[in-house]
Amino acid sequence: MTTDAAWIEASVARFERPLIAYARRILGDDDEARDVVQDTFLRLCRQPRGEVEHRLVEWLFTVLRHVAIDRLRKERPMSTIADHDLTEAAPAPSARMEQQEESSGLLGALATLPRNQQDCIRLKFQQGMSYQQISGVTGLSVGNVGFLIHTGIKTLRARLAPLTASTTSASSGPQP
Amino acid sequence: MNTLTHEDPRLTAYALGELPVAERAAIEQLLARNPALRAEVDQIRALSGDLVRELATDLAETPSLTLPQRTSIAVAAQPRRWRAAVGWSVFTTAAAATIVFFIMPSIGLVGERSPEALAMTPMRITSIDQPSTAAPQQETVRVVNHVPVEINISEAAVAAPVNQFDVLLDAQVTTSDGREADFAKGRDEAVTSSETGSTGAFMAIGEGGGTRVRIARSRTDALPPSQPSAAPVAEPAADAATVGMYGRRSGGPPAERTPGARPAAKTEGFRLAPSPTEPTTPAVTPGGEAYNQRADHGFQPALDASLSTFGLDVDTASYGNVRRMIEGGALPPRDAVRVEELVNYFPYGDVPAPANGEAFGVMVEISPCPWQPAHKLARIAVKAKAVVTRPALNLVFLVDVSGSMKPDNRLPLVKTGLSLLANTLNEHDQVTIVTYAGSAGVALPTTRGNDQRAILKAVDRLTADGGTNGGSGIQMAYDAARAGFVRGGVNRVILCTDGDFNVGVTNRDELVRMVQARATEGVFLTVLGVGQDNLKDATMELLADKANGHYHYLDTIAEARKVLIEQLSGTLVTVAKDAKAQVEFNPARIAAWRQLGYEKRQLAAQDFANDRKDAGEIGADHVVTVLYELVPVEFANRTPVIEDGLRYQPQRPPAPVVVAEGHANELLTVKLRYKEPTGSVSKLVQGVVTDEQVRQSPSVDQRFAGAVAAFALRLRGNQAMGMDFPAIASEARRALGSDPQGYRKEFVNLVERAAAIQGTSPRE
Repeated sequence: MTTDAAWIEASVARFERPLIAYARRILGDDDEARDVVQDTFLRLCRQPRGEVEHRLVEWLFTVLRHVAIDRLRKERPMSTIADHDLTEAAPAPSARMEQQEESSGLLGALATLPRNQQDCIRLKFQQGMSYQQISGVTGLSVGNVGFLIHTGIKTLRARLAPLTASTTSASSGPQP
Repeated sequence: MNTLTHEDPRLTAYALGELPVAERAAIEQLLARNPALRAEVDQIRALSGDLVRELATDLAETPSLTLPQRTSIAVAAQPRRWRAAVGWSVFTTAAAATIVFFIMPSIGLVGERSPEALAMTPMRITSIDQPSTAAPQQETVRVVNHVPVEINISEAAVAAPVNQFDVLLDAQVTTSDGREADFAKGRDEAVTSSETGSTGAFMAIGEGGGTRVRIARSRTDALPPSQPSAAPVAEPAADAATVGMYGRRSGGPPAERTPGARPAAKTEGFRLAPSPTEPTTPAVTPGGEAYNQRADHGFQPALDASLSTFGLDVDTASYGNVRRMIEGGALPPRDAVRVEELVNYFPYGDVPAPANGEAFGVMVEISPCPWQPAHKLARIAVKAKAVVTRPALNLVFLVDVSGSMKPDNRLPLVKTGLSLLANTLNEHDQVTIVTYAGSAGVALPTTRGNDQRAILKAVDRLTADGGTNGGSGIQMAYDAARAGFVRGGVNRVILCTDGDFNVGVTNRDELVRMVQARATEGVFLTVLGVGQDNLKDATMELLADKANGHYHYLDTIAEARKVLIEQLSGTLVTVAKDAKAQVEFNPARIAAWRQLGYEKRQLAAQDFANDRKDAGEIGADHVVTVLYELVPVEFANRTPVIEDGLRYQPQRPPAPVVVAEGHANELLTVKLRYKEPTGSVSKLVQGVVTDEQVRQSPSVDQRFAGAVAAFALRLRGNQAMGMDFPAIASEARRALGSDPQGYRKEFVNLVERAAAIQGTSPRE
């Protein structure tokens, strides 16, 4: 009995930040992100443990994603939130946050990628999910996930290339 | 499919280990022939490494949930039958209008431990229902009497690193002017004095013959009668109840034993008895937190001090406090660490439930000591009976609502705890909430436990408004408790504060007297401490002690649940009061012993059977764990008392240890005394531990308890311990057991954190 409560508590402790980090990319706001994460955990409490436990990460992110996107749709007029915001085009709602925080460097470059590529890359490298899990969360096919990550990484490498090249040449001077 | 280009997503999938095994081989063949693609794979991997690192930083900067948010989740996570049937969120929304509660007798969850309880070695228990002789309080006057005892550490120990001797010698040293110096200083002085030809050396490394340790006992002080609980040293008392069964040295009464013995030079010998247990000057940390200073117990020679007498107690506040400090990035000050409170924080599943009709089940396990394998670690575990039908509760919460209670981990946390508790109450219970320090007054008049709506509404309305009205909060609380007194029930005032004791009675002594007086009328006090600065730990503890109560420190919702819900029956239902323990060591088997912790619970030996002497409270289903480090006689052989020779007296052979007949294979005896919650005459329970019960391979619970004790001792500055933080962490990790609540895992993390903190701070 108490074990379930303890399990939920442990899940909160383990996943609150990853979930908030993910949600704030969708919503572009810390408070809203927290809100939807709370909502997600409240839903978890209503779920029989046996049904979710074996796929907890996937379940949490899937639910979170739906809740967050629902919230976006409700709170913003339809016109400003075209579907491509959530799928293909360049980032919209969170742009201001990212520009403040990550104007340069790898995360800065990541922020310029199309949203769906960012999405997959974050789930892969921040949450350590497999292609399979990412497919479960985003509803994309595994092949599609692979393509988006591949393309995203290629673009990142291209954008960072000048940067990398300069650091390489600087460090490869004559050895003492 | 037998070509591969830069555009192929399989390349990335391969680099990231996402390709099915069947496809991997094909790709590897293609890569083998194409160095450019191999370089590409390396670059993808390098970039993915960078991404993982950068995104981890991003994660670390992500905010976490707020406390009210976590609270609402914690409430929703409660078992269904306890919580509101439909979407209820605590005091974040004021709507408590449509709530339907399923009320169940809430006691069910306590004591549902997994059936892993090992068949350990329950002691032979004899329950003797005899009234004790209520001995009159006597003034203890000690004779001036130095009794040097020498312990000769055998060769087995000489092979061991020198610091093990330090363990043996971890005792406080009293300098000649009565000040206490730490051991290292004492040793320096002793070494100096031995170099100059004085007789005071108490540690000298011999050549092959072993190391000799002389422990000279100094008993010079005539204690004032106001400190009767000063020393657990076995006095040659007239009270028959305190005379040990294992006999004494055959050399006559102590005063005549060594008439010519000189005190050890500058150090006056070890002070074997701990200092009086109620110090007058609390240490104050820079943050203003006050802790009473307590010296660790030193080793006591079993022959001269064969009895260990103390009140059984189950406070666990020190652990929460220590955890909070370590998680905040600092090692706690020594006096904030109480060994027994850390050890007792954790559930130990191997203690057998008491037999039918008994109030306690007792188990003793003895195994090699983890930090000193030549020694033994003895764990005495006492388990109180569970209460099947919970008595009615009459709870009066006295809540501090001063401005300092505003932060999330203070009043909001208290409110969470109250909400969680409210869900477990039924129509036989009643709750009152009184506030003080801000707006003093009755926030909730005495209300039936099944009126959840009223209770939750009142809890919701509590705010830390910043006023400082003072007011007679505590008086109101006790009046309410008395007005609603439930005969045969649990009548308790629960004080929730971050350390502001401006409860209407400002003088600490007056407060203590009041609380004590009410305890005699059957209303007890529980103190729930929150917050971090301004935490008057010493006062809170004193108050709880004097009122036959408990003191807990709440820092998280999990802790609030543990204290208020999981231990509900334990926290609030006392099954025994004035519980005392007395352990007698058989000097024929145990050369020396020291108790780990319980410094503040020490009783004089003769007070064990004195029913007028107040002691610990034990709640239903509580387990009390007591640890001793024992030096077996095989390890420390007794040698002639004066090794370096007295000039004017002939050397005398060591006095043989004479043990009462039939007890030769016994190591120790445990005796417990307690009163029924409403009784005034104590009962005695006792059990004997024999050689056969010593285990070579300790149980999981034994190992874990040992690791916690090692951690506590080390935090208390016991640098000579043979285990450092990483060693303690790995020992604890191997002793996780089933750990259903994750408490033990949390402990491992805490030790690792302590190790990290220590690693970053400059070493002296």
